[in-house]
Amino acid sequence: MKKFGHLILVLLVMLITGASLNAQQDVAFKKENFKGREKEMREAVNNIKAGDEFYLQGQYFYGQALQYYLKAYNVNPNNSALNFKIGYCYIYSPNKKKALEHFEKAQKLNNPDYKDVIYYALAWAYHVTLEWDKAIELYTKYRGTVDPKYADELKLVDKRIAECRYGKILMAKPVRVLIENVGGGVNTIYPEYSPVVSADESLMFFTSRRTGTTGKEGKNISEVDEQYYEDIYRAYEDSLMKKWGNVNNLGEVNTGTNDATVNLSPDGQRLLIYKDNSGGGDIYESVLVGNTWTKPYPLGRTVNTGFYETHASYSFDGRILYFVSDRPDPSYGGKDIFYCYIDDKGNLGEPINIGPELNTEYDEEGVFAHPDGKTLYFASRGHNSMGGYDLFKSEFVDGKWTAPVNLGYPINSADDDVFFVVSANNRHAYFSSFKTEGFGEKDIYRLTFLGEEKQFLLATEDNLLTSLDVSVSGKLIEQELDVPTGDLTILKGTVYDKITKKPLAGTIEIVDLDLGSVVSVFPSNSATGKYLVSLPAGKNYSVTASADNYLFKSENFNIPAASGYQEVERDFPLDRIDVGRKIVLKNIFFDFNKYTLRPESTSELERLVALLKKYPKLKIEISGHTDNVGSETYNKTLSENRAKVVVDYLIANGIDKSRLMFVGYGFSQPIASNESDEGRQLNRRTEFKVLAK
Amino acid sequence: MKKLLLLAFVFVFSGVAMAQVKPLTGPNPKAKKAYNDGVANYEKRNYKQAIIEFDKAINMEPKFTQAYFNRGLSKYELKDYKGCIEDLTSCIVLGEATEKTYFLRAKAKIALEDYTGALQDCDKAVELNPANYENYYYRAGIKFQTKDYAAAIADLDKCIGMKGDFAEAYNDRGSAKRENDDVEGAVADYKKAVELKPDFAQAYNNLGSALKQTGDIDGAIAAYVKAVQLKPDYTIAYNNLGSAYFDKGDYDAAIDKFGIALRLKPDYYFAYNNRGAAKMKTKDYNGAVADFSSALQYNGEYAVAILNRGIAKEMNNDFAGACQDWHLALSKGLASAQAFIDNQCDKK
Repeated sequence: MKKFGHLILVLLVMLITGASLNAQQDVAFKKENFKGREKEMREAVNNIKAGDEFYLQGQYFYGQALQYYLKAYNVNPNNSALNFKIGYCYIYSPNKKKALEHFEKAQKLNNPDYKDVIYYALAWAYHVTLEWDKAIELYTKYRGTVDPKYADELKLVDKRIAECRYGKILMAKPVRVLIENVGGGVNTIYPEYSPVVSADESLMFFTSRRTGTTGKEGKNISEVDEQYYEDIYRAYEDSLMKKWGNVNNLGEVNTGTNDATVNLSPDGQRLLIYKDNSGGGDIYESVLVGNTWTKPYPLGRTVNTGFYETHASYSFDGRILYFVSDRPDPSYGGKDIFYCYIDDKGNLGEPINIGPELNTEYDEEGVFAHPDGKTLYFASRGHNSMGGYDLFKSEFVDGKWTAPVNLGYPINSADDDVFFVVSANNRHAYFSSFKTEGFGEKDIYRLTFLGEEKQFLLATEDNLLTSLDVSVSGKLIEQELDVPTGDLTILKGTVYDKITKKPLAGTIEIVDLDLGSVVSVFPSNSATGKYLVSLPAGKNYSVTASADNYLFKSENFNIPAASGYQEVERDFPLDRIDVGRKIVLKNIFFDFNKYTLRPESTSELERLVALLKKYPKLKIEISGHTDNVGSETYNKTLSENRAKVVVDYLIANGIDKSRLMFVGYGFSQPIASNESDEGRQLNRRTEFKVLAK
Repeated sequence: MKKLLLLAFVFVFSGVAMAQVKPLTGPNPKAKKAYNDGVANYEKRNYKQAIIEFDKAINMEPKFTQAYFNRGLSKYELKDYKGCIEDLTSCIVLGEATEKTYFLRAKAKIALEDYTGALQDCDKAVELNPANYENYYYRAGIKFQTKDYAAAIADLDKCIGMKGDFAEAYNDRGSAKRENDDVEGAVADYKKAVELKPDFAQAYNNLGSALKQTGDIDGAIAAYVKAVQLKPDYTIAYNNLGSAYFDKGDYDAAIDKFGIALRLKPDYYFAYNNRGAAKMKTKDYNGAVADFSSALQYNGEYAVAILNRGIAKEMNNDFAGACQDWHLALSKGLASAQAFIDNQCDKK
C-alpha cells in the first residue's frame, strides 16, 4: 500500500466518488437521469454504498461487495465507476473473464477520469486471464502515462510486465498434473480451505466456514463479513474407496471466533493453528493427547509478536520451526520466512531470517517443510511469480537453500496461490481453490503430479528390400523419465504391551548411527500407541521404542540414498521388565569374524546403560549367538567374546559387574533357519535377558 | 509381401527353371518320360505330382542331376526347404555346381534363416558368374539381413554399376544406407528409384520413412500419400502416414489414417496402438484405452500397447489400472515400464 500509493489513491478516489463527468455516455446516478425511477435510483445508490463498505475492506470482501454492485448495475449499466468496481470484484472471483467485460464497458463510457488508469485495469484483467501479450501491451501503454516522479508506481508496472513475461514462459511448458475435487465428503456449499494432511495421507485437517461452526453468545456468524466463523475439521480417507469423508469438528480446538489450520507436524501429533484474536495474527498449537486435541496455546514470544505471524511448519524431525512474519527487523521486505531451532525440551530458540535466497522484497507466505527433510515449499510474490503469490520450492543442499523453483502452470496462476501441502511420497498436493464447477465457494482439491509427459511408443514398419521378403519395424526409442519422488521412508506402527496388547504411551527415538546422534524423539499416542516418523534416505538409523517399566526394543533401518519413497509398518511389542524376559539388541554391530564393537553400536549400548541406571536392581545376562557357519568351538568362543565386550562396555560406563553376566551360545539357540542368508543374519545376534529386578 | 517374394523369385529363377526343366534326351526312355512328366506337372503348379515323377526318374537314373534340381525346385515351392537343400546339394556333389544351383540353395537357406550358409552359396554364384548383376543384388539382400550394411551397399554399388536403371537396386541400397545411418544417402537413392520407376509404391513408402527420419515431416507425408495413391491397399504406408501426421501434431488426420489402415487390415495391432496414442493427444482417454485393448486382443504379448494403455489409464485417473499395466508391460520385457513403476506406483 505504501509503495504504490499513487495508483491506489487514484483508484480509491474514483471508486468512492463514482465520478461521472461525461454525461453524454456515462450515466451518473443523478435524479435528472432517472426521471420516474427515482426510487430505483435511490436504492441503487444505497446498494453502491453498501458495496463500498465491503469493497474498502479489501479483496477478501469483494464477493460481498459485488452482490450489491450488481443490484445497482441492473438499474444503471452505463455508469463507468460502477463498471470499474464490478470489474475489480470479478478479478478476485472465479469468473475473472467478466472483469474484462466491465472494464471494457467503463472504457467505452469514455470517462476522462479513467482515460489512463483503465489501461492498467484492462491489463490486469488480461493478466489474470493469462492473456500475456495483451496484458504486456496495456501495462506498457499505462506505463507511458505515469509521471516519472512516481517511481514506486513505475516499479509496480514493471513488475507486472515481468510477471507476464514469466507467465508466458511458464505457461509454454505446463506442468502435468491432475486436479480433482476431494468430493462432497469434505466440501460443501460453504468455504473449505487450508487443508493439511498427515504424511501418509490418511488424515486431513481443514478450515471451513460452514453452518454449525463454533460461535459465541449464541451467534456463529461473523459481524465483519457475515459468514460463519472459521472452524477446524478433521477428515479421514477411506483407504479402500480412496475417498475423503467421515468429517468431524475438532471440538475443543475451536473457539468462538476464527480458527484456521496452518500445518500438521510430520508425526501427526501437533496441529499448528492461526488465530487473530489481538489484531496481530499469531500461531497456536494443539497437541493430540490420547484421543483428544488439547486447547490451543500460543507458541512462544520468539515466534508470536505484535506483528503478523501467519504461517508455520515443523521440520521432519520436529527440531526446526519455520514460520512467516512481517516483523521488520531483520526483514528483506513484506512478510518473510523465519526459522528457529527447538531444543530437547521443546523450547524455541531465537528466530533467524531464512535469508535472501528465499525471502524477497515482496511477501513470502504459506511455508511447508516437506517430510523428506530437505525441501521447503512456500509462496512468494517475488522471484519469478507470474502474478500474486506463486508457489515455489527450494532444497537445502550443502548447507544452503537452492534457488527457488516456480512450481509452474497450472499449479500457479496470475492470482494468489498460497497454501499448499505435499504428501510425503511427493505424488500429491492439497490446496483450496474457488472453481465454478466446485461445490460452492472455496473447495479443497487434490493435485496429482504426473511428471514429465510420457512419450507414446508408436509402431511403424517398412518394406525395406525388394530382393528379400522382409519388413522392418521402426526403431522403438525407450524413454527416460524424470519424475521426482521423495527419497523418504515413512515408518509407522503401534507401540504396545507384548502380552496384553494394550497400547502404550511410549517414545520413539531415532538415531543416526553414522553420526551417533539423536535425530529426533517422538511420542507414541497414549490412547492408540500409534506413531509415525519420516526417515529421509541416505542414512543408517536405529529406531527404538521405549516406555516406562518396559524393556526397550530397537530396529535398524539402513536406507540407501535414492531409495525412493516407501511406507513401512513396524509395530513395537514391548516386554515388561520381568525376570526371564529377553530382547535382541538389533543395533549392536561387530566386524566380520571379530569381537570388536563397531562405533555405530554406541547409541544402543548407551541406551542399555541408561536402562540399567534407571532400574538399579536390574540384573541381566548378555548373550552372544552366531549362525552355523564354522565349527561349534569357534562359534562358541566368538559369541562369548562378543558378549563379554558388551559387558565390559557396561562396566566401563558405571554398571556394577555383579549385575552382569555374559555367555556365548554359539549356534546352539537359533531363532531362524540357517539355510538362508536372511535366517543366518537373524541368528547372528546379541541378546539380553532379565535375571532379577 | 508374399506377392513380392514370388515376383522376385520368378524374376531370378524363371530362367533357371526353364533351363533345367527342358525335356531330356538321354538314353533311358522311362527315366526320360518320368522326368518330362515331372516338368509338365511343375508347369501346372502340381508340385506334389512333379516330385513323384522326379522321384521315379532319379530311382531309374541315380545321377540324373537335372531331376535333382527340378525336384529341389518343386520342394522349394512346397516350402520344403530342407528337402530342397538336400536335392541341390546332391546336384552339386554330382557335378552340377552351377551358378543357378548355388543360388537356389542360397534362397532355401535364406528361408531357413541360415544367412551364413546362404551367403557362402551366393559368394559361390558370384564367383561362377561375376558378370551377373543379379548375383550382387541378391547377395546384398543377404548381407542386409546379417546387418552388414556396408557390404550390402558395396554389392549394390556393383549391381547398379552394371545396370544403371535398376530401380529395385536403388531402393535396396537406400534401405542399406538408412540402416547404416546415412539417411541423406538413403533419401537420394529412394528418389532415384521412384524416378526410374514412377509407380514404385514401396520406394515411395521407404522415401517417406527416410524423410521422416530427417525431420522433413511434410515431405514424408507427401511420399506416403503417393505410396497409397499408387497402391490403395498399402496398409503399412497408411500406418506410416498416420504416424507422420502424429509427428506433425495433426492428431485428427493421424486418427483418420490409422483408421484406414485398420479398415484394410482389421487385425493390424500396430495401427490400433498408434490410433490409441493419437486419441490420447486429443484427450479421448476412453477411446485410447479401447484402442490399446484392441491391439492386445490381436496380440496379447504386445508390450508397447500395454505400456501405452497404462499411460491412458493414468490420464483417466485409474492409477491402479495404470500400475497394473506397467507391471504387465515390464513382465513382457519392456524395460522402460520400470521407470513408470518406480516413479508413480505405490511401494508399500
